[in-house]
Amino acid sequence: MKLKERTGVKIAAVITSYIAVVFLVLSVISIGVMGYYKFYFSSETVVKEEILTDMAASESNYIVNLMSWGRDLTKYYNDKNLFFVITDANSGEVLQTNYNGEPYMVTASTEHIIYDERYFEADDGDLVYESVEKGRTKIEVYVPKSMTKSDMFSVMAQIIAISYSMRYAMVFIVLISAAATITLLSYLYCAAGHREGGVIMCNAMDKVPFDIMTAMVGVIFTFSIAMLSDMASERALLLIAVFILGTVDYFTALGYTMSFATRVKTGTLFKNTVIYRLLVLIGKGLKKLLRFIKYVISGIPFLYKWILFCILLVPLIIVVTGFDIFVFEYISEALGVLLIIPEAVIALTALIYIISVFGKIKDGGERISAGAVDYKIDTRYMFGDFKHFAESLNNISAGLQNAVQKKMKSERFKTELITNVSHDIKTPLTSIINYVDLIKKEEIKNETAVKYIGVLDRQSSRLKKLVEDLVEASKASTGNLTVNLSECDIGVLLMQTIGEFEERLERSDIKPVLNTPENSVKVMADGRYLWRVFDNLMNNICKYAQPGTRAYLDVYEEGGRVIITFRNISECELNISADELMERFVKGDASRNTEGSGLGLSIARSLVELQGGRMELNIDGDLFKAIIIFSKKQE
Amino acid sequence: MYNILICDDEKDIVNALKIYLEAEGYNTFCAYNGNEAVSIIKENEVHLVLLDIMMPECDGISAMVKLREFSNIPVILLTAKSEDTDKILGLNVGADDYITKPFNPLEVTARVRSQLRRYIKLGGSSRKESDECITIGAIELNDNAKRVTVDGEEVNLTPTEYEILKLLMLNEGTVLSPKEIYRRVWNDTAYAAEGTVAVHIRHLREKIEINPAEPRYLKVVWAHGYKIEGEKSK
Repeated sequence: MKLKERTGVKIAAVITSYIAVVFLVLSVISIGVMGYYKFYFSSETVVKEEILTDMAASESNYIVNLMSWGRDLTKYYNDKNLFFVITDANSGEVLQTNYNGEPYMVTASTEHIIYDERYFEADDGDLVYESVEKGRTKIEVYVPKSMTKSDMFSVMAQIIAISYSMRYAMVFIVLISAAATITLLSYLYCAAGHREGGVIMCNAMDKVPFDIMTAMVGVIFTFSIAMLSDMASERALLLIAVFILGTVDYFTALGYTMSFATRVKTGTLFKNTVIYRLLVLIGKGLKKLLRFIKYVISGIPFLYKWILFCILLVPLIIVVTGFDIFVFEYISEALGVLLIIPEAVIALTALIYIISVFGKIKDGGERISAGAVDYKIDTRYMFGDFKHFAESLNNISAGLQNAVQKKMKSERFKTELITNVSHDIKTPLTSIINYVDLIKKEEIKNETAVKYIGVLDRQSSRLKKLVEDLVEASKASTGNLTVNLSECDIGVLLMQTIGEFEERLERSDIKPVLNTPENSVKVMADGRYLWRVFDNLMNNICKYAQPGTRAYLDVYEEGGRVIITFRNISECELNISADELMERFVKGDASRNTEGSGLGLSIARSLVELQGGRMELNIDGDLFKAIIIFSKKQE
Repeated sequence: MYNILICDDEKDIVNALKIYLEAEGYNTFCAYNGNEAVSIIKENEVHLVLLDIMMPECDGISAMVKLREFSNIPVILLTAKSEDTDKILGLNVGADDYITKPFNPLEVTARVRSQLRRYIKLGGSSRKESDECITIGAIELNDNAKRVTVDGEEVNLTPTEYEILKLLMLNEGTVLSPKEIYRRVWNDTAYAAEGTVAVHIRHLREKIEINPAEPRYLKVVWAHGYKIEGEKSK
């Protein structure tokens, strides 16, 4: 078991510390007294003579008292080591003595004036007091060298002798007792609160609220000081009282400080006070009140809440303004003006805060609506309805983000599915195409069969085109293509396109007309995909344009944008809207059963959008117009 | 008489290819997976392989790798995958050409002919390089005789087409814009007349390429111009 957990050791330490403190106090006092009487600077004889001279001087004064009381001096000093000589100061006549002339150690003298006191009636009738010197006596006292009798002087001489011999030992005692006191007190403070098994616990005394305990200790101390000051006149009692009260105060202080140590260790110093408990109670009450107010406010609809807020604001403004006017008018104009500054700062801060919070919410709302679904409004410094509003916006953006991610996932899945399925379709399709071709090479006499084979040939080619377009369309619309943007010369590309289609256009009897500006027009695009776009549009022109007409291909710049248009006259009536035409699998005329998948325009639009451009269709009667818009390449 | 191995897990496709190739006068072997193909090539003299990529057991790519360990005969890959990455992978492991399904029979026979001619007739023997003769891949241009051959077969070109081809071949790998081509071939800077360059290039491609839509040599760099490039795999 550890030393600080043993109760017996603690009690022993308490008692020993008491003894050490008593020793310490006494030795310090005696050192102080000895220091006062120069024990450490003079020889024993000098010290002794000085102290005994003081005593003899007070004794000579005492003789005056004895004389006035009419005591027999010879008898009184018979058993004392003191001789006296009383002479008339004026005549020098010896009035009384017991001095036999033996050698003395110290001497002292005093003069006593004897007054004659009387009262007489003055001329005005008042009673007047008058004292007249009647005579002077000189009192001399001698303390003999050899003190044969036992009295105050002999005892004092012995005390001085002993003290003088112990004057350095006393310093040693002070040091020892101080060390012992410090050690024991340190141990006691360390051990305070420690119990068997290594736990730190409060005892009954430590459970008393600390502020009450402090007050009690204060009462005890005040009481003992009052007692001592009451007894100041009675020396003998005072000594006993000092001892008893000192003992009581010592143990009180020790208990108090040990309890303090325990409380610090257990962390109950502040918690276990009446003040703390009161504060906690008040805090709880306030919290409940606040919760209640909050509850009431939350029940009020939004509009009424703010109306109530504004109504409450009015008296506040009135009171503050009134106070300002009062100060300005009746106290000091300068002070009144000074008061307005903090008020204005508070009002402005509140206003700026509200505006900035509102701005943040507005900004966030705009961003989210513009498509930044992962944007989050910072709600850290917002409160109340502002916070609710911002959080709902954030939730909307989170929901949107989720939806977008899901959509992207499903689109990617769709593309994968289409790609895989089309691979699987391609293999049997290869066989079909090849064997149709082989049949065509056979000599078949039946003309109907030849006609049917023609249908098979045409339709299998169409199926091939459809499968290829399907893969491309799904990839383009989901952005599942790697686009390498570089500077592209639109004029060159249009020229190349027309070159590629020259023969087909001739076959369809369509004359292409290309209008390009003199200087080259450049945009940021991927040449391969832009060619696929033009390819699809030109394919449409070859298929659907009225033979014998012209197709216009224009490119021009307009306000930082590059606009490319493909215009042609449709062969058939276009009884369909531009939007519908752009949908997948829609063809200009449902009844027309020509080649093509109906995916061309959709692929073209997706590819243009992938490259950061825009594609629009415009139908005006029979005039079909495809418009591609890119932003101009920044120089 | 050349021996051609056709390897595809689809029997009908193998059969159809067999009919076409035998009509062209080739001998054929048939295999239905990669392992069969490798063992047939080990046991017989095979001059060319048509190899499908997606097959059970041993696919085309693994068969390619095994085959290249002991033989350098031309291999043409048949694939349903049309992505560029698949084509590049095939060429990287040692294929000489590829054909995407569904294919045109005429294209297959043309590519077979081209690969065989280069392997048997031209392969191995080093070519005489002279000032008059420019060779890129299978295209050979003899400036003295004004003669152009592709895979050893003579091609009839108009004088303009010939000049364009010569210009592009002299600048192998460089992209020339239509304007530049027009200026250097016609020796003129006539405005908007360079549109005719595209038409001539189209015709040229139809004459020298097996599949003008997917040219081997005369490439269209869309929105920039044209260039001639040798096959990267060789």
